[in-house]
This record gives sequence, structure tokens and C-alpha cells, in this order.
Amino acid sequence: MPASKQTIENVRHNLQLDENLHQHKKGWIIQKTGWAVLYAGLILAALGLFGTGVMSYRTQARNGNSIKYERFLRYESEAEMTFDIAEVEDTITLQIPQYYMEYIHLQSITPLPLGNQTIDGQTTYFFKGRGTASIHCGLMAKKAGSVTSTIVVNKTPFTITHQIYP
Amino acid sequence: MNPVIRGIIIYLFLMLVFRLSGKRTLAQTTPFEFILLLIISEVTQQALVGEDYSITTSLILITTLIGTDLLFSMIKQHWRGFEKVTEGSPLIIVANGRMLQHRANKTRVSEEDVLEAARNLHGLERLEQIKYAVLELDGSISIIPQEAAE
Repeated sequence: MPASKQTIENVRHNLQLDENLHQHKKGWIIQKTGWAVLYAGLILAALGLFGTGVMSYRTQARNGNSIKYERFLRYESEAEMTFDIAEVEDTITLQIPQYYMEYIHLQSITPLPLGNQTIDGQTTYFFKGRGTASIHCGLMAKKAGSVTSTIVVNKTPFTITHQIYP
Repeated sequence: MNPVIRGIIIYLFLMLVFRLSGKRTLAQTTPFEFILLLIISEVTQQALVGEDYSITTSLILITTLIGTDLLFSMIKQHWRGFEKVTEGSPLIIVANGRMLQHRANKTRVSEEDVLEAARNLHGLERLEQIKYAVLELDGSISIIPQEAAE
């Protein structure tokens, strides 16, 4: 007989015991629902709803340039953001709003920029290059919440959003 | 995140998960399950403390966990219904030497578990020697032998 069709045995006993069978039956139904929610959460987590997975990875491409980043981050967890730039003539500029850096700490930039400047809340990093180039940024989420920001790579704007879990 | 809020969230989440997983999860029935509990405690510790190893945080977290537990125990004392929701109630799984199979299936208790408790607690040899076996709130199995009940 399937478990769902089983009728729970009633017992006459002389123990001083508040068995409350009705509550047990309700509890088993809630338990099954809870398991379903737990496993659903687990599957979503494996897929990347809470970061590091197919649901989290995003790629945007424009004018031959592209950005790869993670949509979902966790507080103080590390992540990577990569810019692939085509047709570099001499210099690469990477412009990141300081508002973005309130949420995301740039732990590393590879290759190292030649210099940087901050004007009107925008920090611009300068690189030397020719042909195609990739810039890797090591990130760490420093503040929980949602941050949407426009990062400009060689005059190509990319609007990205991170959802940072606490 | 504020350590007090972090402590309360972890406390409530653990309570919910252990309640959903059933009484037997806490019973440490096998060495592996015992190790699993140790791993859970290690992961919990990391989630609670994070990178902040200061004494202040430790004191705040200890106070938060004990305070939350104290608050819950006071609510349970004043409102019995809350206790039944958070901790459940005992359940008879063997009556008059007969395994109540549907109850046992629902609570994931096997005949072997009952016989093990019977051997450990009373040196009993067979299921027929058991008057009642009760699955307690902490996931352990209490055994009342036939002769003791008579």
C-alpha cells in the first residue's frame, strides 16, 4: 500500500502519555511539504540561484566587447568578472562607478592597470594593449542588497546587476 | 550583518530544519549521523562568526542563542500548543509486542531500532517481550517491557 494511503493505527493504552495523533498526522503533512521546499531550494542552489551556477552566470556582448559576471553573489564571497575586448588600438579604459564599489570590493585587477583617476564618482583604470585583450577582476561582495551599475569598457557601456545575499 | 540578527536567523533556521527532518535526525543513531551533526555545528559556527573573531562578537552570540532559547522555553511553558508545534509529542510505535508499521514508517523507525533500544535498556530478546515502545521528543526510543507493564 502506498505510504500516502496508509491509515495510522489507533492504540488504546494505559500510559500517561499525550500522544495527540491528530497533530502528528498534520505534522507529517507539513513535514512532507517542508521536504519538498528544502529539496527545491537545494536544486535552485545547485543551479546557482544563490551564486556560482548556470542561473548566476551572465554574459553581455556589444561592439565586439563582452563582459562575463555573476548575477548572484553572497556577502563576503569571492567572484570574478571578465572583460574581453576586441580591436584594441593602443589603450583600454575601464570605467567603474564608485557607487558600485560601495557594494563590491575590487580585490584584484589582472593585468595591473597603468594608472587610474576618479572624476565625478567614476573611477577609470587605464591599460596598454593591442589586438584582443582580457581583463580579469577579482570581486568580493561587501554589502548585501541589489546593485545595478553601468561599467564602460572602451566607450562600450554594460549595465549589470548583482543581487547580493547576506 | 549584526551578530544578534545573525544568531536569531541561524537559531530559527536550525529549529525549522531539525523539526522538518523529524525526531530521528537528532537521535545520533549511527556514527555517521554523529559526524554529520559535528559538520553541521562547524558550518553553523562559520556562519555565526564569519571573519569576526572578537570576544565581543562571541559574547553577543552566546547571549543571543541562550536568550532566544530562554524566550522559547518561557513561551512553551505558558503556551503548551507552542511546545507541541516546535517539539511535537511522543508516539507509540510498538503496542503489545506488535510493531505499528504505519506509525513506524511515518517516523522512519525500523524494527531493528526498536530491538536495539530493547536490548540496550532492558536486555530484551524479542519484540513480543515489549509492551510499549515510545518514540520520545528527543528521538530516542523508550521501552516498557511486558512484565513491567503488568
